[in-house]
Amino acid sequence: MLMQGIVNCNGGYMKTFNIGKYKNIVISIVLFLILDASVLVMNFYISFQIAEDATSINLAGRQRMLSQRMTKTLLDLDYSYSTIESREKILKELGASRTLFDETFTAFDNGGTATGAGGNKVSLNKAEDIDSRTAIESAKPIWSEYRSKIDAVLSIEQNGNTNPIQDAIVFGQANNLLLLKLMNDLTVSLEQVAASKAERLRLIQTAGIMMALINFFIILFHFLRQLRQGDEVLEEARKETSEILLTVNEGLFLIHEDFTIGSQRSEKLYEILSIDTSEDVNFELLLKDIVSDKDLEAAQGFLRLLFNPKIKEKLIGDLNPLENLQVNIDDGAGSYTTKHLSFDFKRVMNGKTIADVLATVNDITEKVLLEKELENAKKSNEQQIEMLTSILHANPSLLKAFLENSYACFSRINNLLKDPAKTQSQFNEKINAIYIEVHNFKGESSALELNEFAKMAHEFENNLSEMKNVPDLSGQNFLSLTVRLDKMINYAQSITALVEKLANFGHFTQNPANESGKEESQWKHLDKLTLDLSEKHKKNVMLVTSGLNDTAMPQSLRETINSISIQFIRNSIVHGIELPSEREALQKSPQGRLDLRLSTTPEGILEMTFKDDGSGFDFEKLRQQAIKLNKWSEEEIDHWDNKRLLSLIFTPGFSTADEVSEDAGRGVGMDVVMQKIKQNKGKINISHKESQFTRFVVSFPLNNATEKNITADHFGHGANKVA
Amino acid sequence: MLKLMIVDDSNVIRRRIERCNNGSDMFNVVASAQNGKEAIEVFKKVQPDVITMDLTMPEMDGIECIETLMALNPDIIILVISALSDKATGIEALEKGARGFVCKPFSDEVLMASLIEVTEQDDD
Amino acid sequence: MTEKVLQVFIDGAVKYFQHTSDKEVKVGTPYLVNNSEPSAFDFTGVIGVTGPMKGCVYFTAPQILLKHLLLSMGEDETTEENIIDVVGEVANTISGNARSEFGKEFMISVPVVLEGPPSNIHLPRHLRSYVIPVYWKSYSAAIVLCFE
Repeated sequence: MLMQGIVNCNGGYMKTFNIGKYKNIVISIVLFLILDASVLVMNFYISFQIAEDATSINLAGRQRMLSQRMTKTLLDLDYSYSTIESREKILKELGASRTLFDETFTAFDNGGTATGAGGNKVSLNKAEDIDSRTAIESAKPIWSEYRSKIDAVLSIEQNGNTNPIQDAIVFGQANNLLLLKLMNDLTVSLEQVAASKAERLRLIQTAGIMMALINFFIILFHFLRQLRQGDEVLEEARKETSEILLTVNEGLFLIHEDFTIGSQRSEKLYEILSIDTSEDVNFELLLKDIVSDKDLEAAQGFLRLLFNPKIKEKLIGDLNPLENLQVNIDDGAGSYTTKHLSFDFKRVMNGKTIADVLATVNDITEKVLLEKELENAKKSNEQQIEMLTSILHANPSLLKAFLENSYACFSRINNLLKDPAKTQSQFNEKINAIYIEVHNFKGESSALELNEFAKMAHEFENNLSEMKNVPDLSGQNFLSLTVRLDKMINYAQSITALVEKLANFGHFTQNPANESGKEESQWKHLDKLTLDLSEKHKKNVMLVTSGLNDTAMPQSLRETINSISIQFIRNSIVHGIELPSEREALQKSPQGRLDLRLSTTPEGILEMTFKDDGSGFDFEKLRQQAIKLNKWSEEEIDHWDNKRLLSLIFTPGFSTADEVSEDAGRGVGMDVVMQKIKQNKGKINISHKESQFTRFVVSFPLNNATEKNITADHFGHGANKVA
Repeated sequence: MLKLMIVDDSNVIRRRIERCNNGSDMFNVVASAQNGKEAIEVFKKVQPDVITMDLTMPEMDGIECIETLMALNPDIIILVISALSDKATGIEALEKGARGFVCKPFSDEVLMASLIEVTEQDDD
Repeated sequence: MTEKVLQVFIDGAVKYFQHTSDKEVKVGTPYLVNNSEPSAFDFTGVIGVTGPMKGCVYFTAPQILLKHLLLSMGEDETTEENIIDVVGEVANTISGNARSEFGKEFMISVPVVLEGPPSNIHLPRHLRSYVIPVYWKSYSAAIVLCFE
């Protein structure tokens, strides 16, 4: 009940101190202390009483002794007559004994002070218990009489009368034993009282200790249980926290004000930052390998702002320097992983103070890449539209063939680059060989009006021309060519991709079904080429074709004829056909005419005839050009006949055009034609009449026309061994 | 009513901030300055409570101006309003004593909300 | 892919050979290979590049060239360990040269030495690489560059 009271009253009190979960333990400890204190107080009080009792017992014992001493001194007085001095001494002793006994007896009877063993004053309680009272009351009349008799002795002695001594002795001897017994009774009774008090003390002590023990066990049991429950709650919380930290998709960690980092971090953090440390690190250490010094410094400044209570958190979000961070993480195997990370920092408040900063890291690489991709897609859209316009008007199968041809051509250029070359002449040979390929490619590109390709090829040619003037070539000079080749391949690949995409829409058919309408369109580009070149060179030219669609031939041969035709048409328009005004002066129709005819002989020979009504060959110009080439002496050239001069047009690097343009003038073209003819085991025959016509007759054996590897050998195949 | 001073080298921005505060019952635009130097002089005269501060200005830039102003009155509330060309500069401005940052370009709503936020007393 | 960037890497390798006793080093004409069939000799030192351009650069050489390279440097012990070491050194020189040329804009990794060609991680299959043959003494090695 008492305990309950304390608990209640303390409980209310404690609450105001907001000690919350510690309330119970504090109550128990206070209780424990109160218990201990009461036991102590009791102890103290009772032991004080016991000390008092001991004095009483002691003095009661002395009464016994004094009763005997008084009788003895009376007897001594009786027998000792010897000297006055000794008598006086005895009398004095008797007096002292009588006074002491009386004083003590009265003190026991009524309570009061008595003289202790050491002569000091001792206060005695009135003897209360029955036995003591009985003894005192019984002794009272006896002592009263005895005392008066002793008093008589003491007073008479002074007068020299001896009778009262005998009287006292008689009384003393008669009552001495009784008095002794009564005093003894008093002593025993007091002893018993003291003993019972001691007994009570032991009981109280035992009870106190028992209660303290019980309290202790209650505390122990109660709080162990509470602690265990607390631990369980904590463990549960810890488990939940670690589950969250293990699963959460962001890197999470706390930054303390000294920039050290909390030990609780999400698992993802290590993955995002590509670190494997779980040791104590600070913010700087965590980021220094992946963030530039400048960013790190800015980030630290930003954190200082966050820890500055004067700064408004809401108003500094824009300043976060790690909001979108590109980091390059060394994967330790010779390459870097580029990631885009986004850090977010938030104050963690503890009441009004900023306790920590919570950092959240997200890997936004995918998002950023997607954005970039969209941006690139937007950019390449324009390029694609340009490509689209150029390929949409091209004949699908021709375009397909062109692309295949292009890859083959790129592959050949690449192989030419790849051929080891160390000497100057080897380098020059290489340049010439590449020249032929590029020039041929250029021709085909412009025939199909793939202007971007034509432009690239033209620039490639320019590059090659410049190299021809470099006196001391080395492999490094060719680097720009390789870069150009790479770009052309890229462009071709993007067109291929586009064509494939379009094919999915059904606009482009991959199936070259030979419908007559289709056949027609297969050569239509030559008309277009003629028209364009005429316009470009301010000439008036028409192309008349026959037999192109009637002759069955393998695709490869068709392509060969196509590219030879392109070359012939270009040469005729640039070199052969005169300007309309010149033609009129020569009494010719202002419109030039090109004839292209295909026919098959009974022997299985495919004959291609190309004729223009232009100026024919200008042998003087050929001769001048031959001299310019610096390959032969002028004298030698002077002796050459027309046939020899004509053969020059098949020499690489030979051209009679006055200016270099995309269409002519590089002196490459006829050599390509020658090469293609040879590849197809064909022959060429040239005839001309000055100012009248030029005619080329090219014949191919039909059964042997399939040169196998050219179109099949796409770029990249078989390039797997260095040097 | 809090006394507001605008520091910005752009006329347009100064007028814009003024316009935003027209009819505001919280801020009264008492002065404006075109550069840091002018800002210090005007500040001494009008003793504003709040300042909006551009960072890139001729004569004396925002950072230096904030430093000087903080020395004159450490309790002055400065809101930086600047383009975000360099975050480090913005952070430096706040480390010197400005209390908040608003990124140019800003909307009227953002500007007013930021001014209110930056002047709000922490109730402790 | 600009020529200038490629040139920096080539210069790095040439620089290394020019410091050997046999300074005669020649660069062949560069060409392209598809990464699906990467070019490599016996040993390859790879460095990763990131920044405005991302990709990898590697120096690859046959064992015999590397042995002679060691000998020309006065190292008689042509153990595999030393060979790997010297490949790493060439790659290091290339990387160091690139670092000093490009500055902080480019991140150039520490070289890793492999036997044979680098893996797909370094050479995305759909891309092409530039191969620049390097002739030294009677042997050929190559610098290969692949950028996205």
